Amino acid sequence: MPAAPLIRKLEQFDRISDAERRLLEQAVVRQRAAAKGEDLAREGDRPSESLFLITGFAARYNLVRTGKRQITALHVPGDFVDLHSFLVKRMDHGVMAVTACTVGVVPHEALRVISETQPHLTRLLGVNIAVDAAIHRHWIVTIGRQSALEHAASLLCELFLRLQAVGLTEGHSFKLPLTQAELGDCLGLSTVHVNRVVQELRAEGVIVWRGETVIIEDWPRLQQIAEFDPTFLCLESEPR
Amino acid sequence: MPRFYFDVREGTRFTSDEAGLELDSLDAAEYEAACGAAEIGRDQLPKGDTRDITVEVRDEQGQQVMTVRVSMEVCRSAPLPS
Repeated sequence: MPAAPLIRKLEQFDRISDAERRLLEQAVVRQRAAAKGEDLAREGDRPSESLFLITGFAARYNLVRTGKRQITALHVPGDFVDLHSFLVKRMDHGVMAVTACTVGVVPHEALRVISETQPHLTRLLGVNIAVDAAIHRHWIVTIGRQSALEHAASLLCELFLRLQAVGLTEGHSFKLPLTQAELGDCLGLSTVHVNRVVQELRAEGVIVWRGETVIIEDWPRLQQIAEFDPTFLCLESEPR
Repeated sequence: MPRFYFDVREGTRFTSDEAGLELDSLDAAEYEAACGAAEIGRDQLPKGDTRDITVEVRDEQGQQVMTVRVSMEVCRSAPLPS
């Protein structure tokens, strides 16, 4: 059932009726695979479909003239990577598959029909876009006003809770298939600096990072380092 | 492409780089080391625990090929005579 991760994500925000569930299932017209490193959307594109992740990780990014890349958001299964393209039309950023991905395809026409006939479902899709914006705000605060150590700790807290919400954690461990260079592009840091902060978190006994697996050894301490407040993730289900 | 390793020394603290980075030239390694040193300096130097940060660059044979150091010097001026 390709719509299942999307339904699970929207259920984080509020209960979904059986009729709404069926509409979401019908809205996903197909699924497709994307290779690691493939662009799911490019800056300047005018997509006629929005994509959500069924499996894998994706990243929104922008390139600057020197060729440097800033990743502005990471996406995990259940996330739309470009729901806003339904409204803004032209992409102001690219989206790349960080790992091999499977994506579900929702035509903008299906989103238009939902927006004209399903007020509650439309509000939930609105919450989805609002939470994307809240995560961007959180990244701006951490990138601008926290130390690299705090910022890295914050990103790990955020990803742990987001993955936990979609059932992709085991205890306090989760898969994080990012290279140090990609992590640097998320944090706006050189790989030299990323290595230093990751080593510090390890040396302090806060995390273990082996291959693609992160184990949070000291969750309270990680949140304390990051000054982490999960409000922005909107993880409580309530009437909306 | 050659692989370079970037170890970081801050006072008594030493962070070794086990992964390294593939870069196409020594100039690229210098830029990476300089960015790393400057960024770590921005975070750590104002705290005042350490006054300099050194990035030590090794090649694949473990041979040191470069060091890049950033430091901060604070000089308080003598008060004006009243």
